[in-house]
Amino acid sequence: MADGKGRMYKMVIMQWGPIPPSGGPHRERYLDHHGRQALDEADSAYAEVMALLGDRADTLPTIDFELVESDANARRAIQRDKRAQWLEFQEDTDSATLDEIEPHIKKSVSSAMAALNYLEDHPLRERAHEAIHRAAFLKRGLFGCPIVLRDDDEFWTDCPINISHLRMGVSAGLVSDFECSICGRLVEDCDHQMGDYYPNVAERDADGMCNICSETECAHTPGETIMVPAWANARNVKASEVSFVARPRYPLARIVEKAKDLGSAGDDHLVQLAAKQGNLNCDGDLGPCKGFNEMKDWDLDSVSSDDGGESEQVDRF
Amino acid sequence: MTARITEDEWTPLKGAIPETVDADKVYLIPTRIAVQTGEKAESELCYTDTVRYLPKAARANGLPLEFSQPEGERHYLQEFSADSELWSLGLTLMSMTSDWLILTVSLFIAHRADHQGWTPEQAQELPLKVLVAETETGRNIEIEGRGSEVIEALRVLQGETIERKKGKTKKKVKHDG
Repeated sequence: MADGKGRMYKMVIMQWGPIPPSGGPHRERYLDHHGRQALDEADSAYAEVMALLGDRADTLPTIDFELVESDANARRAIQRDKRAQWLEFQEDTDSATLDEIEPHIKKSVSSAMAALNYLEDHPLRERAHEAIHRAAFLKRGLFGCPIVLRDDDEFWTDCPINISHLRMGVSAGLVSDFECSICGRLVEDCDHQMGDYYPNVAERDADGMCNICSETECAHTPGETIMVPAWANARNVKASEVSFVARPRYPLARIVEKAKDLGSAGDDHLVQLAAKQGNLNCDGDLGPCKGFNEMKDWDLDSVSSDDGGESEQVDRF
Repeated sequence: MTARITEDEWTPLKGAIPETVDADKVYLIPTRIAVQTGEKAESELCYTDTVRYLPKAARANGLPLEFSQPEGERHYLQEFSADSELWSLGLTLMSMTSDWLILTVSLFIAHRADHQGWTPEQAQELPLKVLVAETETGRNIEIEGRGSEVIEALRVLQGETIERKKGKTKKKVKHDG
């Protein structure tokens, strides 16, 4: 990474749809529901991969190590060993099967990461942790975990192990108005209760959009009275700031990609060439992590599986 | 009672208090300032998003609680953190003795219970900060504690205010006599 650029991250700041509950029992139920759902999706997608592999699933390299290992040298040794096992496995795997597997294993990884984001304070947290390692291990083994080069001097990674073990999120500060979907006034000034049902007469605007469902093609007949729930529609949204927080209100508002400092190895033209060609991979997924970084001291360098930037070892092969 | 009460360590933001304060009303005042990003960065008074629906709930319950800022000039700061949060309420009124003060704070606690799914009893035990600017004396009072403790502290403060007023009236009668 070029000097003076500092740390760089790509983040999801908000999610589409209703704003998640801010706290209390409503939030606990919301997190439990979505977390279990994401965990099921991760399991289903992984099962699909196993089905596609058929008999070969029995010969896959396995996670036969403890998921958390504090010794960096021990972690690195396991990563090397597993990388060799995966290279051997890949030799006998046909590309058509790999093409079929790829979307499912990516889905398993992303769902497992989402599950952890929902379940980070839940008894199922460790299940989500295991699901991430399981899916990331297989994805890395078959498809790699590329470190890409951008702007000739920035290495970027979206390694699921490194990203998911950094336990923090993003909170946007917004100044915004909310308009009542029934009467169009500001929600605080009208007397409609959000979530309650009210009669509304269907009509279409000049573009043919239905005021009931916002679709141009629907079964609502203009003039028909339909009971619809009142909801608050954001408008005049102005960004004020973005902060890192321990627990984001949008559970999936997280870092999704980060710049990686390879130290002096990053200046090696062979390393740069490998990154440009998609052949430079992170090995964090292949072995144990060093546990979650709960950001208690907000030490961004203390991420899970690498050893903190400049001294990181890059195998040349 | 363990609520912490401090006087005149907090001051309302400039422009937060309405020019005219009706003795029979309670006003919700903005307690935050948001600085907009961009070239023409401006700061504006903001309510926290947790109080956006409170005057509406008050109207439904017959409580004379209003925003201090007029319609069209109100701004709300939404912050999307789920870290442990301290809900706070900024109010101004003519006198601490207002019948509506405790009802307003109680409504805020009930509003939180509805909003987050707590039972009324659980909501009473959550941390709360209430800021009150009393316009007839210029006192600015801050009360922090569990909801039930804040309510109890307000009762004590109201009692003291009533006693003080009685004392002043007696002195005045004596003086005049």
